[in-house]
Amino acid sequence: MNAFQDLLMGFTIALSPENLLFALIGCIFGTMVGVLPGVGPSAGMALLIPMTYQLPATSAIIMLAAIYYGAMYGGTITSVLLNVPGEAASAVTCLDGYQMAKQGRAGAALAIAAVGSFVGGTIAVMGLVVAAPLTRFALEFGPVEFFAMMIFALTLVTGLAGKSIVKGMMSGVFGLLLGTVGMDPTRGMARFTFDRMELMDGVGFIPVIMGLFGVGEILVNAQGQFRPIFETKVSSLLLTIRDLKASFWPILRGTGIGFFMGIVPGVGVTPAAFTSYTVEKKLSKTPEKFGTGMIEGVAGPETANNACANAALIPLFTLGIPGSAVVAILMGAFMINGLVPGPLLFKEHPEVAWAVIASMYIGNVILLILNLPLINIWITLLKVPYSILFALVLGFMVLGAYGVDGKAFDVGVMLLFGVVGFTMRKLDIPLAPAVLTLILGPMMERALRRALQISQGDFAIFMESPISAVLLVAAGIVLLLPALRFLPLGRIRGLGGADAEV
Amino acid sequence: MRRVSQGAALVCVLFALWVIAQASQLEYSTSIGPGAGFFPMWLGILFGGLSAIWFVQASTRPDEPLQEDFIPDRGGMFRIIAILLAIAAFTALVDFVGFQVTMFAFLLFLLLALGRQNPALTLVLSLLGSVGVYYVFVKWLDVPLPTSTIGLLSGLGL
Amino acid sequence: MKRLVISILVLVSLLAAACSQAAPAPAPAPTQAPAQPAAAPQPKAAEPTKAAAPAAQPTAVPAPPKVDFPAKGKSITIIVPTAAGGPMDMGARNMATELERQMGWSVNVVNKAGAGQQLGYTDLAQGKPDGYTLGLITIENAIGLYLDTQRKAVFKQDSFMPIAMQTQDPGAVGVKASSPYKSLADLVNAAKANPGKLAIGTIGIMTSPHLAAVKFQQSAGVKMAIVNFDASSEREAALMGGKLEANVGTVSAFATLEKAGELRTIAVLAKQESAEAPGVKTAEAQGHKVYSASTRAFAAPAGTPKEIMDILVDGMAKVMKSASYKELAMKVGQPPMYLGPKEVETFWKETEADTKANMELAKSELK
Repeated sequence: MNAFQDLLMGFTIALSPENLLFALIGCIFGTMVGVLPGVGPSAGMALLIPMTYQLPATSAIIMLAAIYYGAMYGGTITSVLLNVPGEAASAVTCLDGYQMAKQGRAGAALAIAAVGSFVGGTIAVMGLVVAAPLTRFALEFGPVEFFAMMIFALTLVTGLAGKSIVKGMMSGVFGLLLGTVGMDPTRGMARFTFDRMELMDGVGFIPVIMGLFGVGEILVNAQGQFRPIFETKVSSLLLTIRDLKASFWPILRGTGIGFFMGIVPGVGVTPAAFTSYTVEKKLSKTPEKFGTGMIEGVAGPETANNACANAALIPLFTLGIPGSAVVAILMGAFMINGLVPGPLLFKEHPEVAWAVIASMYIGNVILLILNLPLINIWITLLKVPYSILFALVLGFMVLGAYGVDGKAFDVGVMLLFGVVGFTMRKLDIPLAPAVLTLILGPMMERALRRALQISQGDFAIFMESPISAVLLVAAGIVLLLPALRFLPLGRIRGLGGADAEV
Repeated sequence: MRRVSQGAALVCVLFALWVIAQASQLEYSTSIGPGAGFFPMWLGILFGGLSAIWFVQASTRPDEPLQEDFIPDRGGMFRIIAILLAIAAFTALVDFVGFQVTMFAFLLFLLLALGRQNPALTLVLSLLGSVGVYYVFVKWLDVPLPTSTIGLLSGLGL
Repeated sequence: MKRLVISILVLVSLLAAACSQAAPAPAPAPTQAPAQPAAAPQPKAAEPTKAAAPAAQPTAVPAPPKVDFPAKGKSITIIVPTAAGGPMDMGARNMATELERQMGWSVNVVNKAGAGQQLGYTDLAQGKPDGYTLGLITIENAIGLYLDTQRKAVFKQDSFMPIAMQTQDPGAVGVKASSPYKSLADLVNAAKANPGKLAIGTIGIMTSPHLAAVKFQQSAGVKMAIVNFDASSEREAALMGGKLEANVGTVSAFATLEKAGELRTIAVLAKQESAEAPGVKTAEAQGHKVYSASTRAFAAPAGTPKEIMDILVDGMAKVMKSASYKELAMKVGQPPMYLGPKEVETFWKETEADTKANMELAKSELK
């Protein structure tokens, strides 16, 4: 109960006019950074860090945290409107969000994303208040468990396949192959790098997804003489009751998935968003309609990525371990102000810790209030004739690919994958599996190497850890499920039988 | 559609063979487990196998008619190639000619030649998209964008 | 159609302009873009990196007696080989801020991340040696990059002229606070009791902490399970979760967890004890000659005229010794540790020799 008193105190600090103002600035700047190509949340935060030298610690951290979660929302906007994922986590939103925009429902897509982000973000912050035991659980995820989790996530690829399982698998394997480019995690040997040092780190993720989704889409449209592709009669801006009903469970499940993946250090928001999408597709009564503008396909992942982003702060607050590179910058902001994130922060500077947590509730409200009215403005963008829009979007993507690391090489990568994306569309090969496996593949291979380094080559380690064993068996079930359907036992009993073995 | 699928599947098989050949030059295993070549090797084999299944499926299943716009008409082909060339030109030039000039030419070309917009609008948009964006990104957002290495242009602040 | 022709003409003329530019070498403009066209990253440039070997750099050209540096209206660029917001970036920005404030120079920081810092160092090595292109180097990383022959790095020590050492984060060995190990000897005893079982986390492959772990094994005559992580946060999380027995990292990387009472530093991998980890003995004092560090220094491309170097060296020395710089540096946890160009060169040579020997050890280890 003490925690709630502390939280109340935090609110009184966070609601002071100047702290409200900094939260607002952070939210606006964060959204902007999310929308603009080539400026990620980390670059955005780094930009403002010198400015925060003059601010009181609490205000500085409130503002930087707001940039961080604000950027998560900004990335959605370009995914829905232009099929250009501003950051990796929004790639999955392209699948149904952009289709909704084409049908004149961009408003609904953005609105449900805002609502979902709000719910996911707020619940995840609640987790912060009662988090300490949860982080201890998250620490149980060492390399062994991490590997098992990646294997489980990889089996979800079968759920992303479209009409043809074979083509879906090919896309997935292609993504995994792309993920092997660069230094291998065993001995640091160069693989498929063509002697280019730009490839030593692997293929740039942002250029690849911008190419596959954005450039590929424009090439398809270019073939058809830039006919108007958006339904300009924007129907109802607000969400209908049916939309809300359809989104209710996806948002709740997305929150759970995002929260869980957020507290495990090193997972990141992108797998969370993809997992939510595949879970929704698997649970849906009409999985075949995913990819044609299902609101569930936007609500779930958008909730998951925000829940995940907020939950990723939990290990920072409770243990002092940043869960991702972006959170590490936030940690830097604490240190600059002479604060040490971790359990001691709550003892030594409770006013800072609780004010920052309270400000995150407020920030999520600000984002919601800020973004719902803004949707109208964003949508007018779609009224620009496509013969102009295509050029601006291309310029936008070229700038984005270049801006990420300041390398013209990445623009070339985007170009190449634009052609690949165009070809895949023509051949009816789904893009999403490749994107998911491109992220998961390297994480999986690295975790495997580490696990084997710990056990010195003994594979039994994967069965000795209960978490890992359960995850691996679950992965086996997901893979075998389609096969079990053909058995005379029937699907339900097949599932039960497999469960019993666990 | 059959011919197209068969052709694409064959290309994929060739790609898989290339991957396998490359992977075979990497270390397959180390004393504690898979080496650098392990995953590329098996992924290559898997990809090749899937491509082969695709080939068989495409050859045995009833043929679906080719989508009507599967092969772009002359105009479509021209636009696609023009876009690709424009991006390629941007890639090649941006570090020498500088961001502003390259982006200006890029937008000018796309809007004028492909978008068929009127010259005045084109000029305004291209200027905003190049010089305008440059100032926002470099001055406000601290994102470094290259200036020209050509003396004449860099002298003008481009 | 007319428009089309015109716009194509524009493109072609631009192309022509770029090509004609490719022939004559030095362009008079100071830019962050590499001076040699071959250095520009573009996908199909034919073998750009090998051609521009550092040996081909022009050696110091006699400059006019009086140098006007930095000239009015010209700004100095510091290339940082990591993304914005990281420790190197913050360090470089602090230096830029103070150079502007104290010396009145115009300085900007450019992030050139990628290829494990190789991109940034390549740009610096191939930068124009006129004093307007500088860079921040993590010496141990740079050495690791060019000693790894398959990376085909185009730089080595003599591609750079050091200006000033900025800071040095000494290596360290840390264990979980609740762990029974209080010293390296405890760790060695445990490793002897469980040969090959004791898991010890490092970061990267062939990096300074990884090599230190390998060297420690050899020095103690034990075999441990060395686990290579990609990020220090993952490594520390695994230690906290009890998946590892000890971590090799740096003093500052452990500082947060140490202050939070979650971690204990049991050895500092430097010649002297560190003020940031008071009371912790060096590995040398505990009988193991194992060293590791993350040392950052500012440098200019080889061939920068001596007159200009002198101005840069003096300027940075003045900043490094000032109180206002120290205040900024302490804020980001980077205590100023100034060494002049000669000392940096000596340090670099020693570290390179040490790294070379340890790499041979590590190569046999990684089978």
